[in-house]
Amino acid sequence: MTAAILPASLLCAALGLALSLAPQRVPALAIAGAAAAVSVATVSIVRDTLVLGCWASVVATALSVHWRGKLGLVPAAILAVNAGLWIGAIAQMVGYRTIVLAAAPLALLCLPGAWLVSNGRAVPLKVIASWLTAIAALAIAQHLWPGPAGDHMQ
Amino acid sequence: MSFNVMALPRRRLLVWGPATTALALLWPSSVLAHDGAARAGGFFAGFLHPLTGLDHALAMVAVGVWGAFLGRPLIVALPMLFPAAMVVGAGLAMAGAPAPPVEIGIALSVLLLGALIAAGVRAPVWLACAIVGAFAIFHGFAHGRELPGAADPVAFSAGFVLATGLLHGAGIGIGLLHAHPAGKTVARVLGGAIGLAGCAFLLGAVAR
Repeated sequence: MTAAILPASLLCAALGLALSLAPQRVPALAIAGAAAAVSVATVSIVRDTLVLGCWASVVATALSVHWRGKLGLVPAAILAVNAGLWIGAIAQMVGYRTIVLAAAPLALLCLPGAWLVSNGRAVPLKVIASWLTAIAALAIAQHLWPGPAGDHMQ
Repeated sequence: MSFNVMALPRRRLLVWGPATTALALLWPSSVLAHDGAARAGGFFAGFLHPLTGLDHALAMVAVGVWGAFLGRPLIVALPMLFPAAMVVGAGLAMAGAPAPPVEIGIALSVLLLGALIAAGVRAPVWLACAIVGAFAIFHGFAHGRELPGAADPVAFSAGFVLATGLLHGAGIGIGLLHAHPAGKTVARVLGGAIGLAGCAFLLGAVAR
């Protein structure tokens, strides 16, 4: 279960960082869109593919933090709906309560993030986004080349 | 009927006690189910991993110090480039690419980055990125070899990426001392010490 919660949490965090770059009102609209997408998402793919898709979305969303200038309504909405669909599918697997408690609050990173951006200090957001990209890329690489299985007691 | 150990002769206890314990420890070696092939995993193991390896830790700190010394845009670009290039190295290791001389590469990274700080070399952006990116691939390759055996590789990698970032941050903090005259000396002396440690790592890697 942890294997599915971590990408969902980091996807929420990446979305929060990306929405920090959006002008006023856009983050609220985008989060509403993400919540709507969570409620309509259905699981029609196998668990491993779902987790892999969620990691790929973390990479895409975290890379959008390096976007120059403000994030407009359309790209923000696309990112939010995409995140909502993946998180909703994972929520069906691990339970909505788990996602609401563990992942969703991380989207609120957009609040301190927007404050940093308005004060001309977007750099920490970009550094954290690069860490998220690295973690997600490593997770994808481990999916593609899993290597030997670990000892079952460890 | 009760058995009183204290009633046995003391000399016999001293001989047979350790002997039977040693025999018991040696006996089950042929039926061990857990061979220890898998490494410790999880977020905290990953977080501690770069902090407990002095060669990795010094290289990460040196990247931060040098970035701060070089100023914008490298103060930000180097800590962002390092994890990205590390992922490339880790991916190569996981994909089974032929192993480069990883230990020598890591030792050279500590030696060269320390020397660059000590000498106060102001490299152009492209060269600084090329140097740090190339060394990050060696560090990533070393971590990538360890990752698949970890019990929870994703949490492990999240931990070590975070620790790596914090080490860069610590290095940037030290490097910012460079703005003050006394801090400049401190940063350069630290760079020299890192370079000397790199020499020791290099000698050790070559001797293996």
